[in-house]
Amino acid sequence: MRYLILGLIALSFLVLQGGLVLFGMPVWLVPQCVIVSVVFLSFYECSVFAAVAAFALGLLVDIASGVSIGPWAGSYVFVFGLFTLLSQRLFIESLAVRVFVGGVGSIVAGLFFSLLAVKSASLSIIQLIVQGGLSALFAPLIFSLLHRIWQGGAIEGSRSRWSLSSM
Amino acid sequence: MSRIRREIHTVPQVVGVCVGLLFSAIFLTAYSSRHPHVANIGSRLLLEVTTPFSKTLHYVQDGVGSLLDRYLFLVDADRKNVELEARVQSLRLELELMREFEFENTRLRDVLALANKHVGETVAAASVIGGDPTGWVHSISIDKGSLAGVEIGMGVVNPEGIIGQIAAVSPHAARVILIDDPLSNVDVMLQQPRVRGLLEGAGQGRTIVQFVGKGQSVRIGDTIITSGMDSVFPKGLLVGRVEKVSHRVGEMFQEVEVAPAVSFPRVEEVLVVRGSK
Repeated sequence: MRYLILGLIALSFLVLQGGLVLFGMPVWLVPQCVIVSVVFLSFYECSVFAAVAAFALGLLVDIASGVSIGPWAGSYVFVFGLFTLLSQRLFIESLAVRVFVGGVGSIVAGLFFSLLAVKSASLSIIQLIVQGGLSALFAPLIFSLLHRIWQGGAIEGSRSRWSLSSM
Repeated sequence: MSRIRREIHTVPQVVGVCVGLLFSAIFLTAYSSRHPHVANIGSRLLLEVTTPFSKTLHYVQDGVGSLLDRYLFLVDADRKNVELEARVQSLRLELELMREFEFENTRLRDVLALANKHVGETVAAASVIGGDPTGWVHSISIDKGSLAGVEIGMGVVNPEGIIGQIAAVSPHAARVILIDDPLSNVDVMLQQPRVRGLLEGAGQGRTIVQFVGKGQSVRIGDTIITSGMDSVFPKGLLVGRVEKVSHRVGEMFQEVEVAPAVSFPRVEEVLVVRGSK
């Protein structure tokens, strides 16, 4: 159920992002909300399903672009794997860390996308950093929204193993 | 402070799956770039799902947006003037709407004139309903799809000039790759020396004409038009004007930078056209 809600939220983010571009906002000023959702997932769930969900969200973005399938899926999985490795070392409840990981996630995904789809990449490094900064600003909001959904799942869930990281 | 982290698998297991998925993504990227129709399968479905939301967003931006702008700053207005202010605002709004209708009328008349000019080549008139959600592909969505006869590869134009090509189609909507996207290629020619070249997108609203021989005289301000040889656009449609010409030592061709005639963020109504086979 959580993953279905996450998918719907990601779809809403995509429509909103497309709407902002249509509204006349330069593409590099549109925050990458879907990648922030993937970063959230890497911190709050250590499972194969979450990795597949990150891949599926990337595919969704690839499909929305309508050009080639795979580059965003690869970027999202890369970011998910990277932050899964770092997740035990970062205090994600801190606002500053949420901002930081949101921004870094967006920039890393953009750079990885550039590697996979050289012909499509049309953002400069500066624009990528600006986009990362905006994603970072939105990261705490997205984290709070998704945290509520995940907490609900934690109370309902009975079979999974839950770890309470006290700081 | 504490956080709940669900741990179903170990970190090495998850990272292992990520590596596997990464290789799948690389394979998919390579496969779909060789077989573009694969990307269109899912795109068609997603366009159908998101089109109602995109349309709603479009109407909200068009209608409610201007109303909010006008009333937002009237919070501190004097009580006695509220009624009169509202009346004045209402009349102004009507006036603005009338003006907007007038502008729309003019725009639609231009589109109609263009459609009449290319009677056999026009497939459908459409409105722009969305932009690219990722920002990495320069594209727009339009509200006409395969039910209106739109097909992949058809050209999209407006009275100012050419806009792009259809990249994905669903029954009620289509996605258009703009000519400034690096994935776009259009067969063009210089209007005056009648020299042909290939227009490629360079991103950021920039386009470059490749394969123009060094011996050809190209000047800044020269007009670029479609050649009609690519079976996408009819011949003679305005593409843009030459902005910069670069001659590189040791290369056979000169690089001609072209400013597109169309201002992409302002595009509202478009025509879908087909070139002559």
